[in-house]
Amino acid sequence: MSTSAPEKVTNALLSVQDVHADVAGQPVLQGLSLDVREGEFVAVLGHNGAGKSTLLRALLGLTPTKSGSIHLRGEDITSASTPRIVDSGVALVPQQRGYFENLSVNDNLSFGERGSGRITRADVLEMFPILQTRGDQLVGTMSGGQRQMVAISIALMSSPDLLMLDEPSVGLQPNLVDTVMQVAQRLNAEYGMTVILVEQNIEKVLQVAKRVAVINRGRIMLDQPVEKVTADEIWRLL
Amino acid sequence: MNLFIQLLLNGVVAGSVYALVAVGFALIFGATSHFHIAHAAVFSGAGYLAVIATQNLGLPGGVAAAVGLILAVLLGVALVRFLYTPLGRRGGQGFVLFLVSLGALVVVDNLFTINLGARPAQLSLGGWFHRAIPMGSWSMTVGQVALVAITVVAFTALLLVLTKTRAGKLITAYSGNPEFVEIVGRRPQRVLVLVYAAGSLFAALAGLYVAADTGMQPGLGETFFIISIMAVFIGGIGSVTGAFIAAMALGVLQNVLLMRIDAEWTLPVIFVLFLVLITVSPAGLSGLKLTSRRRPA
Ligand SMILES: Nc1ncnc2c1ncn2[C@@H]1O[C@H](COP(=O)(O)OP(=O)(O)OP(=O)(O)O)[C@@H](O)[C@H]1O
Ligand SMILES: [Mg+2]
Repeated sequence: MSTSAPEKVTNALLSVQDVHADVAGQPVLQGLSLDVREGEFVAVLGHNGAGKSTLLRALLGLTPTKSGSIHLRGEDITSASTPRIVDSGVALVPQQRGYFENLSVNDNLSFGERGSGRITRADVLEMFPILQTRGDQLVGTMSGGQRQMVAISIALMSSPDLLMLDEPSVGLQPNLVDTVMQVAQRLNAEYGMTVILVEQNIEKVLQVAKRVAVINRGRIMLDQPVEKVTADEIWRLL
Repeated sequence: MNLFIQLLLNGVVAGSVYALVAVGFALIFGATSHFHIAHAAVFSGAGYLAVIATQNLGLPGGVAAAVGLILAVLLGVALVRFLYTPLGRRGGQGFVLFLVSLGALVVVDNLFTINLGARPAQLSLGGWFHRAIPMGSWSMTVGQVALVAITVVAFTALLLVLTKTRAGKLITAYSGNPEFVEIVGRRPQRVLVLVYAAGSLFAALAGLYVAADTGMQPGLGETFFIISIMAVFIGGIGSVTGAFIAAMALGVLQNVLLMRIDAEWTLPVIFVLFLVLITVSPAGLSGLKLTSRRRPA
């Protein structure tokens, strides 16, 4: 497992500089800056309404920014369209409904397909074996846990360089939470995928992530490698 | 009995026109939730433009019909591309979009009336259109048979496209979760163009038939639109099959009612029945049906 992941690989894959963004007329991101290097696994924590989802949505071009800049591999994507950002190798598993209920599992996976094809359908089905026999089932008729696996699978089908997961384990039973965490860790370790994971579960995050960033009132309050922070410290900032 | 069967046939003809308009609207409304009342202008536009193409450009009927069809589809696409989408980007939706659509309908309708007058604008497709086919004691014209055949073929083709093709699945995907279409990197604008083009094609076919049959007149688009809306609601919003069946049923009911009541009363009676149904089951007939299999979690 210990593929000697080098610490300082390259310069930033993603660079967020002093970003401001409003949601429904209210300021949410208020001068947020964050750098993510290739191959990192960053956990983003923060209490409800802190702006975690807004950050991920802004990165994908779904929520417009008012000021500041977002660069991907040095290229300015601050006001790029979502399809363009997706084409450059970014995938988001949104907090809610990251799938098409009215289509089958197979059709859902097909919509994810694009990019290098480095991750195949077979790879995805190996990570989530329960989906193997359910290709023709409508996603809308599946349980919450199964839907979440479909959501993650769709994102993986695009073989993204940067995978953003928005609270993927909320509402899942404990063994599924572990499955999801292990998959995220494996994608990072084996496929070298850069991962940004938004999570509420601090203990789990500290087990899988390499770096922790805490958002409060739309700004980063703490940004440290996991070894350097404790759960207590994080709790105090939330 | 003979009268009943003749009325039934007439009902299927009327139902086909309603079905074309209704299926087009059901497709658009189901996918976008746009209350696209200018759908009525696409319907009448097809007829009027075909008439203009014969009268002013001297094109033969069939070619003029094709021109009307294409221009009407372009009108539908232009409405979403240059009106609804920019409006939506500025936060306009729901009632605002409805008002804008209504405005577009009024403008387009008036443009045609100014140019062609209020007289019925008759599209001449040739003598074959009104030729009666002998069917024992009943009768249908060639045009009517062609209408019913085209309606069935177009509807079947739509169902196949929606369920079997990539483009159709994209429409299904968009109707359920438009934002996620963007998240998987597809351009929603393309889906909208596809939906409006297909929906407008259906309305335009109906408009051409009406123009060739009785002639297109001011207000006709609105009348057919209102009946079709009823069909869309009865059939369950978003269901093109429901809209198709309900539109056929309305056409048949409207004609069969003629055995008991005078022609001018059939529409009011249908309206009352509609109000009763919507009061009992606001989700239309689908609200009365059982939901499909659900796996225990
Ligand atoms: N659709 C909306 N309409 C109005 N306000 C919204 C909407 N979505 C989010 N907000 C507000 O924007 C702010 C930031 O929301 P965001 O979803 O980014 O928070 P979050 O950190 O992801 O929270 P959570 O942990 O609950 O998912 C919150 O104050 C929230 O109330
Ligand atoms: Mg959130």
